[in-house]
Amino acid sequence: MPNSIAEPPAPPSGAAAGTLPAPRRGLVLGKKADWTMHALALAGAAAMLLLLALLVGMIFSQSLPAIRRYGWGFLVSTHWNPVVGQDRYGVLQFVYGTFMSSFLGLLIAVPVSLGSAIMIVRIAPKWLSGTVSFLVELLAAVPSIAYGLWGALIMVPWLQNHGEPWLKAIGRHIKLIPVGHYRHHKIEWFPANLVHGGAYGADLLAGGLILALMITPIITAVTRDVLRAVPPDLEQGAYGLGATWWQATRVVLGYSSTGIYGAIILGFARAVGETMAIIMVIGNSDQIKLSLFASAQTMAGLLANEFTSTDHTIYRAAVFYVGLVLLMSTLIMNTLARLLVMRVTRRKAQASGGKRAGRNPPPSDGPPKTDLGPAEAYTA
Amino acid sequence: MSYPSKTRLLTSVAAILAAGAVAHAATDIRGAGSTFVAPIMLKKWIPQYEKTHPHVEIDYQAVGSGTGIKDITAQTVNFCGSDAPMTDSQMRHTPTAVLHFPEVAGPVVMSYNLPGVPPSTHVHLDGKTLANIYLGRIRHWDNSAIKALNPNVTLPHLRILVVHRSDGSGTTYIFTGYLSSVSKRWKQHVGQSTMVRWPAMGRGGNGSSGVAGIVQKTRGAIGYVEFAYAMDGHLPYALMVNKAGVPQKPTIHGVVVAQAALVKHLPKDFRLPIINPPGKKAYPISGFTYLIIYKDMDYMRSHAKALATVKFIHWILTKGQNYAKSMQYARLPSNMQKRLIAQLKTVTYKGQPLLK
Repeated sequence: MPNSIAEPPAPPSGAAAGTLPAPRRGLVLGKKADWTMHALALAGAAAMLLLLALLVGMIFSQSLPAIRRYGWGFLVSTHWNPVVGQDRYGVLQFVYGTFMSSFLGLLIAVPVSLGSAIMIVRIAPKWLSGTVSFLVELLAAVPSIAYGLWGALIMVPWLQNHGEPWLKAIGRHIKLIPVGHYRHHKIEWFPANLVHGGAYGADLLAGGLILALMITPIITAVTRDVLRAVPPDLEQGAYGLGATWWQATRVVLGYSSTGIYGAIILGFARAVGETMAIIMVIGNSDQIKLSLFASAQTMAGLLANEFTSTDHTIYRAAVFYVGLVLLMSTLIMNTLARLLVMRVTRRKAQASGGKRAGRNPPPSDGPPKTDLGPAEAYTA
Repeated sequence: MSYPSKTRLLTSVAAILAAGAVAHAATDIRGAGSTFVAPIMLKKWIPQYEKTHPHVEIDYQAVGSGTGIKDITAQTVNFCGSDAPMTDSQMRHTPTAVLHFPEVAGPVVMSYNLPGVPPSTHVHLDGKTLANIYLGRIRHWDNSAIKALNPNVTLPHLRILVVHRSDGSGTTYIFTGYLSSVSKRWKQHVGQSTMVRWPAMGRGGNGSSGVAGIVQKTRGAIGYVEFAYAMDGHLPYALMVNKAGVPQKPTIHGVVVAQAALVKHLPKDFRLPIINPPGKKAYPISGFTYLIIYKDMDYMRSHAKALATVKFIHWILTKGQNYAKSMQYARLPSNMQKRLIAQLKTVTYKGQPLLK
């Protein structure tokens, strides 16, 4: 093999005749390869679409009996009772549990992730950032059941005995807005109502904490990569204009905001779909109670908990309907996020273009614009 | 270079195919369902039976009773394990008639977490009180109803946290069946099922281990678990007042007594859980786990397979019972065994009975 590669520059006889066949054969093969790879790629793409269509179609067809019986009412009802004879199904409390726990998770995870990503990229010396990066990736690879076990065996008892009593002692005195009444006409205050109820540990707070723990590595890792992709000129330029460290960091963050939104959405999507870990800590009861100390149930958790016991048609269909709602809500969420990111990108591109042109003299206007080009193309 | 490896590959493929053909010469039986019966099924019955019957291969998948019933209805398995007997409406959906075979039974244990009450002091509970606790009508441990049952125990003023299974379970079926039998209110508002709408807001644990875990770690919690979990986890457990008014410890013996007391009340098709039986020594909350098969096995399209299935079930009902006690189950009383074998003899293949 090495010989045939070395030979072409020195053909034995007939310079033109010797060189021509080889490229032509390569060309023909190349065309065939082109065609084959084209077809393969197309088939791959088609298979993906087909798979998605089959998945949605199957879930939809399986949930049809429940859709026919409950229709849109399923989405706003909180009554979930699978006992034969009195069965009735509604999903609202599980939608609440899913989004509340995921939102709580994000609330904790986003600042932590942004902070650690900025630390890794912009503050830490190389050896430290390498170590922390490695540890973050290690955390992202921990299976969710391991987080669940840790949550159920260590975090929940700790919350029950220390974390929540402490939170309650402080939180119940913070009364800012009256929002309603408890039984016996006691006024319900916000945010004191967030710590109402028995501090048992297995609740929305535990769910939010475990989700935060699970999505922090993902958001951190993606944000870190996004921050690293920022062209150094931008930061240098900011320093050149006399920016402080924090001002330069804000320029970098602004430049990569689209990617950071993407990272947050990725984290949120994982939180919404998380199943085993959340089952182990959230308490699994179907109720809507606006308190961190109230137990709840998520849609994914419900599917895992009840799928094996679906012993009659309408129950099975209702569980599939929950699956459909979960699928659709992630779809809607992703679409909304995409739209948001697109709008932000467009507005930012316009704003930054305009600002730069107005504030800076022509010479310094050139380079940043060329820097922004690929980023816009990438995000669009 | 590449030819020898290809040959080798072909040889190995041929070898694998041959091995497959040999394996297919054996009769394989497929079962699915109950997780409650899985320990004895997978650790004792199947390995022991395969040891003495080398030509039979049995595959049991513990996918849950509900899925097992779905599979047997679709005739994709040869037998199904279920902790709850099939309902009348479920039986209407099967292509042909099915038979229920209770195989073993087990008590459901009420375990609790009460700081200050030593584990050797078992709290006494009766059906009505338990139902009221799970209905959310009794909220504290020092409620007068509980106090009346436990005059010698100093009960703390502590909120009761009700713990239940979050996944569908035969244990829940047995437990809610008991509550339905002792409380009209429960029967009316909640009912008996593998999965119910819990009236008192508590916590749901995934699996018996999940329930045991929450009870163990939460002050004031009460939960129902299978016998083995309470014993293995060394959880304090309650003595349940039975129909005769005697507080009974959950034991295998208590279940055997309960079964024996109920045999004569058992209907022809055996679809009756052992709930709240009479007898001073009977433990009130316990239940059978069932094997479900078709009375007419034509759908298997193989006489050998049908015969192997029936023979395996016959073995479970007879010799297999000897493994029950070591695996924390109660064995079948002998008079019930006779009735079950008589029922097994009615199973047919192409109109001919399989067992004589």
